[in-house]
Amino acid sequence: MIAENAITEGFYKRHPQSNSTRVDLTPIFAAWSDIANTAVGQFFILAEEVTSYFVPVATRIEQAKSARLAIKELANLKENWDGYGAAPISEQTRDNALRFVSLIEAAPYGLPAPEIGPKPNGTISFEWETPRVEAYLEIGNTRYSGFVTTDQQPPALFEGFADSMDQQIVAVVGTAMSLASAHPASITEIHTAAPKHEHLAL
Amino acid sequence: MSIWPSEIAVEEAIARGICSRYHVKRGKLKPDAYWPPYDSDEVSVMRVSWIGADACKRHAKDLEDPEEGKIYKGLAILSARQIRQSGATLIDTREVFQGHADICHGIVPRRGEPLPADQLKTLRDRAKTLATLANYYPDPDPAAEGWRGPALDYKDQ
Repeated sequence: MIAENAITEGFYKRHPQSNSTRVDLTPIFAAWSDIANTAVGQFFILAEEVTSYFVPVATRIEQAKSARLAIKELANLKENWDGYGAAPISEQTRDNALRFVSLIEAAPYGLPAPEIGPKPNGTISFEWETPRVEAYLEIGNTRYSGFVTTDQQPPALFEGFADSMDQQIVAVVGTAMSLASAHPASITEIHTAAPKHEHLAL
Repeated sequence: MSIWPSEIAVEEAIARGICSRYHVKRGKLKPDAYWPPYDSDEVSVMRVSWIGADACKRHAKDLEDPEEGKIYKGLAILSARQIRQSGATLIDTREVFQGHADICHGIVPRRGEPLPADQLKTLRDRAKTLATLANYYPDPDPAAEGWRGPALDYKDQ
């Protein structure tokens, strides 16, 4: 087990007794590109297959707006919202989720719009799924947790304190989704012919 | 005294009442339909083979609260075998009501916090498997007292 928020050898470690890899998302990374190019790049060995996608700024702003609305709506759910004793979404969880949306919005390449939903234990989930890739992130009052799986690599697991969420997580998901976009037949919404680099003027 | 066996046979049909719009998307069941609440590893289900479709619908409708957005939508059916093959256990919990059972995941989410990543993935994979295997029957007449839809059965394996 890798200690949380500890710097470990390299950027990822294989669990001794499982078929998964835990990505250590610590402040070790100075810039998002380092992560994309090293940590996740090492994890997804199919580097030559990985092509970057790009979400235009206007789309990103619209996606973020929709995501914020969805999260605020989830925060209105009452105790037992599913009939089976589900917990409501706390203000803390809502704010953490909103902050993650801002991270996506500000990321150099953006991300495909996630599916956002409430969990019965009062957390908020973000899901991205293609035929080849699944990325899943859950955010709570003080922590986040998630994983990325592809059809060719063991899963990468990540977790940490919610207030330490930064572009590293977006880069992990983004790199995984790039893998999906390397096979145009498997994607429907994220390929554009726009330039690869564009930054939001925030 | 009940004459039903406490042991749930592998060929029994097991129903989950669906009462949240967050558990169905475009007519398909979402993994969240089989996600346990906080401080528990149990997902409430019913033994259709014993209590029948009408009773399952009645219990599912009891969960409704339209003012709070909880609206009964239908029933999702799995076999006991499918549930057990996913890695969960299935136990009769008739103390809740006759015909009640629980899918036990062995993983307990905490209120307001995500599970550790390894447990999260295990639970997510299992809930996804169950949602995919389940035969979801949207109720064609939710207002009716009894079940007016087709016979409730699980998908063939």
